Amino acid sequence: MSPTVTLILQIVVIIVAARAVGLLFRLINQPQVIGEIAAGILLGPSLLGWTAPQISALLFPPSSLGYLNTFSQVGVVIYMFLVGVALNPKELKNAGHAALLTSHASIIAPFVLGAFLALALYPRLSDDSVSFLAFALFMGAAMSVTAMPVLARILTDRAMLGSRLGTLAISCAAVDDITGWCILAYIVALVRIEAGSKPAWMTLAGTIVFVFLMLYAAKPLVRRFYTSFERQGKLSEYTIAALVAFVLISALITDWLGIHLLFGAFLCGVIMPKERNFVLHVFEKFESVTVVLLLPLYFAFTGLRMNLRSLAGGDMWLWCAAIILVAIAGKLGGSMIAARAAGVPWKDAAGIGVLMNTRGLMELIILNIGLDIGVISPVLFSMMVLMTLVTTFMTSPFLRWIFPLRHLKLEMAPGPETTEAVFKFMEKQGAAWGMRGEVATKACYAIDEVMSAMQQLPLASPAARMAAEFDQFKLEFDIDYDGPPLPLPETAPSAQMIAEPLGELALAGFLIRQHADAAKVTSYDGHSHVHLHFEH
Amino acid sequence: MSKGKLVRDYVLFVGVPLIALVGILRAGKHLTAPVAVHGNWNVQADFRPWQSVPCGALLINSQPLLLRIDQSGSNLTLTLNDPARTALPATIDGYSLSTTFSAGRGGTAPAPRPDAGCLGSQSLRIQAAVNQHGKQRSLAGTFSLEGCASCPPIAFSATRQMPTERAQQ
Repeated sequence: MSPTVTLILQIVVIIVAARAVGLLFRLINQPQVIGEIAAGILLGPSLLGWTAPQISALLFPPSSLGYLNTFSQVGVVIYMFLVGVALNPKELKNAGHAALLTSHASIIAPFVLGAFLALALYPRLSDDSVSFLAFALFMGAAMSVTAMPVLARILTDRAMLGSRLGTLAISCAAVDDITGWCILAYIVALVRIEAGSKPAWMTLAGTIVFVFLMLYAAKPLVRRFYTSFERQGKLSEYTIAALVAFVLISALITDWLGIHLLFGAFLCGVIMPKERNFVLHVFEKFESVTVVLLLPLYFAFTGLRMNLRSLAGGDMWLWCAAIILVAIAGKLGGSMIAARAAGVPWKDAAGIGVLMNTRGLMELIILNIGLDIGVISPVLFSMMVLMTLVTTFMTSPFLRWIFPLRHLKLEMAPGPETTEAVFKFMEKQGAAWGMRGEVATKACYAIDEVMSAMQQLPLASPAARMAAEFDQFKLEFDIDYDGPPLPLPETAPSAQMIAEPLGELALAGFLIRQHADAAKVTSYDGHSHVHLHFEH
Repeated sequence: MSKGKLVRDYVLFVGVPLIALVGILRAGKHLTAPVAVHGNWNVQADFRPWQSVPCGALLINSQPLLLRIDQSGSNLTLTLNDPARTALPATIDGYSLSTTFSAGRGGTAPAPRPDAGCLGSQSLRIQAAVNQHGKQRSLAGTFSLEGCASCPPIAFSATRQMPTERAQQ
């Protein structure tokens, strides 16, 4: 096969596998990205190369991996730019003392434990081409990473992003990211200087000058991207081309300086304008191709470098278990205790610990850099990737355990007595579940409107089935009935419209939308479903 | 949270661990790790004495012979020219390198293709010493075919190609 055909075949297989495994992971309430990482590992020597070596050799011949690596590196460069764009330094300023203490403790605790573990791992899994200093600092940095993008996704999925806990977690993760990348830049520079590939003074002075220029010379200039966006309502193709060129040149400069391509891209993102609509537009332009096409290639490339079969023997698995335990104890334990000391209640502090323990893609990026520069060995790389999967995977179930969802189902027929039943239900369950009064009141009004609107619909069956779900962050109602869908207009119907047939139905729909934080109606084959969401 | 409490907690949760980190880094300075031999090595050896056995013919035809070593601590994986066909587990003890492969004990069978027919009941063994001249390292040792009475050990020497980052190897 020609290299082009091989590469295209690889891309097809990787995308299909990533989507399929991602979907399976979503079914078990895990973020899609964890499934995609798992898909990459399954395509590597740990599974495909082991069970079907001929197919693996055909799909991923060693000579083709250079192309795959190059392609995926471009994806990670753009991804790191997006991570930088999403990072808003203002959020850090507003985070307060609790975030300051928690974030710094959440870095230093796993860092120290990682370095401590390095005392045992260095003679066993490293070699004398790496100094203990570089090895220990790398282990510390790798243990202290938090994946801010995956964290944000989990918080959004659980409606926790706007909560005090979510804000604190995001602020801490942002501080962790910046600190982690600075430490990693230092390690990469240290290793390359030790290897003699770049004079130390050039790396140090060059990096200081580059960061200074980016913050004080380039930052005012990149405001022009926002000015252009504000004027046209979008970024033109020329502007996007200029933006991409700027990111790539910045990445090349940091690579030339002896730190890494990714630092330049990340710094580019950090200095970008932070107006919300601009950030969303940049994500809209870059995210799809990066997330759907390029990142799965990176996961697959990571999977091809990871070999679980290289963990031969019980002692290797014991070291792997020790790495996972240290990572969890340092990050989860350290963040939790620091948050508690900062005055956060135990339950929320545990939530912070679990969230900060999410490592995800950021950890994979750091590990790949570590393997590239030779600071970790292939076996240690495999162990650390496994640790990444375990710590990221455990976030969702642990969050559900700490903040359990409470369910209740009831059946009722729309009618005058329904309102009273709903109020009684909310009074009883609201108290039992610890619901805030204003949330319960809003929910009562919204459900009452649904019930009264349903009376105006030609229902096939008079019974409506209602399911309520509650946790610390949200209240969800799902109402199912057999009949046509309720209209949910976004604007208030005029007096003239209300006077028309079905006008009152439109008014009720509008009021439902007003009471709920989010409302959605779906209909299929004569059966309709109303979903109401309330932030808690 | 009062300023006094913040300072106290900061010292406790950040200052003390930082001091511990400095202690760990100082303690680790004295640790030694196994000698680094990972990378690609150019092997010089004369395999003509083995030309009557399939493995010898294969090795003669494979010149120049490239030995690739993947290293994780003292555990090594050696591959000769074609990684898909040859993978020999090995260990390094001090400056002495030896393969641990034996056909009877399993491991990744070298040269599994039927056309090569290499090894069979025999097992390839590599033993070498690592020599250090400044930053340059070289290997000197022997290839031997265990289970082949008519095959004398073949002496070899190997020089390491310039170390590169692992992604480029």
